[in-house]
Amino acid sequence: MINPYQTLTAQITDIKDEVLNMKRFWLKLDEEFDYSPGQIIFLSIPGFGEAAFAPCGKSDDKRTVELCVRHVGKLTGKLHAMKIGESVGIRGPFGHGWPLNNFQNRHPEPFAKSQDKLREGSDGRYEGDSSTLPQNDKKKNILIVVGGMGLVPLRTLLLNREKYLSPETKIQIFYGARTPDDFLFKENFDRWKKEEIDLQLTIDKACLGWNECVGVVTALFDKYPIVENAAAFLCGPPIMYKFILQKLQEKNASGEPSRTASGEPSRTTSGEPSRTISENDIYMSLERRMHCGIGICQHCAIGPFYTCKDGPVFRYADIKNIPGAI
Amino acid sequence: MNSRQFSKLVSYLSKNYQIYATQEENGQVVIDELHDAKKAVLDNRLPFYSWKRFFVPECESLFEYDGVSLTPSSREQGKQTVLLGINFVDLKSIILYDRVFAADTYYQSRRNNLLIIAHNFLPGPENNLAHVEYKEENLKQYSFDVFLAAQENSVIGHKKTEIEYRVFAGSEKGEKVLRESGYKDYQRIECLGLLSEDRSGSAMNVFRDKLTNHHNPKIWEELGRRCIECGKCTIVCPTCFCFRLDDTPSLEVGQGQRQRCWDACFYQEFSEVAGPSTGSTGSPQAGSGQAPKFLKTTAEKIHFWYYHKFARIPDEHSITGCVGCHRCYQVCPVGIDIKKVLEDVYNS
Ligand SMILES: Cc1cc2nc3c(=O)[nH]c(=O)nc-3n(C[C@H](O)[C@H](O)[C@H](O)COP(=O)(O)OP(=O)(O)OC[C@H]3O[C@@H](n4cnc5c(N)ncnc54)[C@H](O)[C@@H]3O)c2cc1C
Ligand code: SF4
Ligand code: SF4
Ligand code: FES
Repeated sequence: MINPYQTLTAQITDIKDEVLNMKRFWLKLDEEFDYSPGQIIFLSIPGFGEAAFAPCGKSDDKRTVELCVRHVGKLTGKLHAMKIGESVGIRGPFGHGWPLNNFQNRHPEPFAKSQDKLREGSDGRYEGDSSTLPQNDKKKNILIVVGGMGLVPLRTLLLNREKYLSPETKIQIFYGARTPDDFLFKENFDRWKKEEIDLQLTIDKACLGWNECVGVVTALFDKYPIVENAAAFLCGPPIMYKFILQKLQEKNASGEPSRTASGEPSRTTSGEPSRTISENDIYMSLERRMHCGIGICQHCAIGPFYTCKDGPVFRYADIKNIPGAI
Repeated sequence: MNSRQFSKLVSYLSKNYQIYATQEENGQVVIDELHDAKKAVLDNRLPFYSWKRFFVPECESLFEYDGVSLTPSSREQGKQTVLLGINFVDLKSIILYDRVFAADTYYQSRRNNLLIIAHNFLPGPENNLAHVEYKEENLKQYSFDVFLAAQENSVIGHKKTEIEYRVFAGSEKGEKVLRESGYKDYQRIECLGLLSEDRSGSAMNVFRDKLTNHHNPKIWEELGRRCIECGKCTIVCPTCFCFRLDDTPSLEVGQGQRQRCWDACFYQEFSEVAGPSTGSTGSPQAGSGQAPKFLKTTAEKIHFWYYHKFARIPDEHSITGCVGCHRCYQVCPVGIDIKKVLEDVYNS
């Protein structure tokens, strides 16, 4: 029987100051460690505990895990004080990340199939009715909306685009930060723009030398049309989700017909591709306190789901009716 | 098995094993180490604390750490502990532990060292809210090593009349102790531990449906005004198994234990995460400086507790996460009565 709490030892091979209070760490393992973008790992420093982090580096080097960590407390403080050559523990990866390959790998259904799809199976257990699951393969493109640290769990997807997405997939990013100095991974911005990723930035308050958008991340929706036939990938603080969801609903309501219940992308009367995004196509990464990482300790439970095991990426349609989920 | 044969079994066990048994102390039934075979009592009184700590201890060491490396804490091999006197209501909670910790190496090695002797006495209606009934044909759905089924008309209550048990061995281990103690007249059954309770229309399914699909905030807000978040209910409840992982340093620098300890969803830190970022969150309310929590109000906490027992556990493990023992009510300083709460949920 494997011990799910046992960690692998990883050596810190590089450290870089990212922004104020945030550092990037490159951790080298003796064995291969495979994860999918958006999944989490647990970092362990004995004496200082464990916590969940989202790997953010290129995933083709399977012996290296890159983390981008904000100093907030005991464990993260200790990590920030560590030096190249020192070692930490890692376990995981856990949970489900972003849906990939044009979403043909349907987001896995958690143990308790989401609410309205319940029916009683012959053996008296509940079973999901897979026929009602929306098929997302009609959605080709991705709108990424992130605030603050939210870009962290999406960077692997962007860096290994060819591995996870088909070549036709268009990517648009709406990224909000407090000041220009707070944007993460600025070193990648040029390359992403060259790869025709539509990267739009906004900062909270106007400041000298900033010519782009000012305002919270939802302001970008008023400035730029969103990419057509898109699924939305959201990551940021809960309060940001509330505003973005509101914005997407406004967009859906205004003018453009919403998608039909069957998940068919609707077309405007003029035959224009759809620029609305239904709740079946909105994915969001949620943060909860975590202890076990394997769906037992109950700390991260949201209604019938565990953030560590069934998430951290959830489809909005699956969690929207759960009180307190967002 | 008559009382003389029962005493013989208990003295055999006490010579060869460590035994924890239900015993009478100051007029109450408690679970304690058995030093005098004559003191074991099997009857319909519910021990104040459940048997939970034998399955899921309050705190256990998972690893000894030294620097970054974790060495799994040693587990005692093969030394059996007998749990004598688990009543038919509490027996159900063992099915839950077995399912929740099915893949847990620490639980499994501890579990293999437990020898369970259960009986069919049912606590009075006040401590049997789920109306559990004893039926011999359902025995194999449970999990035990030896089962003592008091014959009808042999005893009621805790009056010491002559008791006759029908004896079942639910495992090889159970069979072995019976034989070695000199008792042969048992029936061997295969315990499958397969109890499944998802029956449409049952009260438990109604609770599940109400909690999942018809959230009624009024009930929880009202309870939230009364509950003082002391967490006592989670300590006595046989089915509360939430835990946290903690590192406890020893005196040697860089050494210590990584422990797994009971936690309670009523405690403040249970759902706390790191505070708003110093970098931006792209939100108007960034930087308020307070650690955000997901279970913010007492109402949300008490709802979380009920949701876990009556919706999440049934969804995940096909049994209700409450055995109906009423211990939570008995310890609650403000008198929150699960029976009453469930009636309200049912009628909501
Ligand atoms: C799915 C997920 C992905 C995450 N990804 C990243 C990431 O990529 N980079 C990053 O910097 N951070 C990430 N975090 C947050 C990170 O886990 C916390 O910052 C970390 O737990 C803080 O640990 P600490 O010991 O330094 O803080 P502590 O000293 O323990 O406490 C500081 C604060 O953190 C809270 N906290 C304590 N334990 C936890 C816990 N297990 N989970 C969450 N909060 C906790 C405390 O309530 C307190 O408010 C992620 C969290 C989750 C759930
Ligand atoms: S919730 Fe109350 S009645 Fe149910 S098992 Fe726990 S203590 Fe017993
Ligand atoms: S025992 Fe009563 S007051 Fe204490 S946490 Fe439980 S319900 Fe609340
Ligand atoms: S961290 Fe998700 S249940 Fe323990």
